Amino acid sequence: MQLFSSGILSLAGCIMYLILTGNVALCILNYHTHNNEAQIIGRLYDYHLLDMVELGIDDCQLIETFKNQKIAAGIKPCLLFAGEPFNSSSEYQRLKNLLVDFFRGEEITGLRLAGLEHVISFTAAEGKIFMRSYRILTKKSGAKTPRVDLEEIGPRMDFSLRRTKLASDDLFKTSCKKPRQIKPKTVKNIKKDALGTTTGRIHLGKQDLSKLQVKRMKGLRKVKSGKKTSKGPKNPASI
Amino acid sequence: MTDVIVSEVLQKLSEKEELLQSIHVSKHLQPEVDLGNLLLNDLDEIDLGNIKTNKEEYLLSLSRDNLQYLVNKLYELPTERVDEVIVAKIPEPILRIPREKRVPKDKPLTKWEQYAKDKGIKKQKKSKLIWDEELNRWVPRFGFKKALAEKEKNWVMPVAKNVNPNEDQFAKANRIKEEKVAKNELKRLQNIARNTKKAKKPVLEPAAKYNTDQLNRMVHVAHTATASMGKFQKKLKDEKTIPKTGKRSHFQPLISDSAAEKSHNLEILDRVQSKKPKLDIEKAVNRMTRAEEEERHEHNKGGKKKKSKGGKKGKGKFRGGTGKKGKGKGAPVKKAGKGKR
Repeated sequence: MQLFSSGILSLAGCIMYLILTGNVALCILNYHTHNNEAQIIGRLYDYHLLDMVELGIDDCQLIETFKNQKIAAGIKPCLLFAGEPFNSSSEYQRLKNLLVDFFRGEEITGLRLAGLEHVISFTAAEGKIFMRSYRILTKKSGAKTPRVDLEEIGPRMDFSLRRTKLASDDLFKTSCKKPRQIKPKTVKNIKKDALGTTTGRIHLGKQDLSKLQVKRMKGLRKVKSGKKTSKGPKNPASI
Repeated sequence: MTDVIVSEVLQKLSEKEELLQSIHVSKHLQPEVDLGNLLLNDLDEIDLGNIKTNKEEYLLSLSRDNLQYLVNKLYELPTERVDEVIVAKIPEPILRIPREKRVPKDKPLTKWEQYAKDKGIKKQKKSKLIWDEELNRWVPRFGFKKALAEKEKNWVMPVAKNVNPNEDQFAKANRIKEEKVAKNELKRLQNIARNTKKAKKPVLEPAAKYNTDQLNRMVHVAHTATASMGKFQKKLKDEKTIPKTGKRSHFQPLISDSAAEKSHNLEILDRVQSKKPKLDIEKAVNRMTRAEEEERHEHNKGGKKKKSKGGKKGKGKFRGGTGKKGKGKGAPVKKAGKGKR
């Protein structure tokens, strides 16, 4: 799903290559010129470009500079985002979406709690984004939940957000659409009240008033149990 | 003695509290947690002073606090035991990530599926094995083992009274089976054919006899069906020049008779300001009746071979008085006094 390419390739040509051969949706292009190094993170939807973000690299320390034990590849990381821009600025929010898309790994239904090993944290401050990658060390605490400590392992990067080419809102909406089969089926007309009783509503439809029995007929009279129907003369008052 | 016990208990309690404090995280604003993505959004403000002075330690402690919060939430989830491992059930992700490709189209229902849907017939779950009385064992409902079992049972086949005694009953049974399979295959293909889009009718239909319009059209198509749209196509001897077809826009020259231009612009202004309806009802009705007559004439000529559809979509026929694009037959039905919309 991810392809790394370095060198001074034009991103458009790179993307075309990916579309035609790799069937790939996420891509990073690293380029560095004298005094200037940057990364472009892009993603595709339906074989067309969806979002593209250029992040200038201000400071970078590779994995090799951290001399400690690392983690296995492919572990799903925890993702932490801090900083006011990630909640207010729409560009930063789209960048957050892109970074989560990139780093989150597979979708899971169950998680082995002891297997949490990797954390990536992105902090936005002073116009920069600090990316730090840590290993999780767990210690016993009094409760069921362990105390968590961090040790920096992975690449340390300080980004600054440069040019962006983001998809329009409606294109983004259509790309996020879920197929109808996955949507949860809403059960209609059944409610559970605060006491726990389940109540349902039955809609009977409109009553056909032309078929109402308005005329009094003897046969339709309710008969009280035990009482015989009288066959004597009718009381004129009762008609 | 009791003092010692009490002090021990208090000491244990304080230790426990200390440990509990170690997993306690205090935040000004509760962070937003998306457990489906293992994602946490910290809403607190960042201490910029700390960033300047001791950046790495501050980032580490901030991340540690956030992660502790996330882990606390994760340990609150319901768990189950899978192969001697405790696994937490992760909920659906909240943050919507875009798909890689488009949502696939729904498969069209087959004829049986449609019927079952209308009638409310639901699929009944069938068991894999059936108890067979004759063989006294469980036999699969389908597959090669079922075929073997059938063979076992039908090692001899009775011949009915009214049937030719020299006929091979086994071959007959096989033939019937083949026919059933072929019929099933035919129905399957019919389902597919019904649901795939059919090719559109060609513009030039093959026929025994062509009229002049069709012939002219064929000549034109043959002439222009080249890479240069017929521009460098040589003419045959005695062949008439192929006229250019299709609409061409005619633009007025930039500098022309100013009086004509002035009067033309004033006409446009009058039309815009006039209260008259833009649609000339009579003209539209006359056009429509003429079109219907022509259609009826063609229909009668065709000898009722083709069924005429409910009105042609004549491209240029139902324009209103101003020459704007029309929307077809609906226009003439409107009352006078309303503009065309």
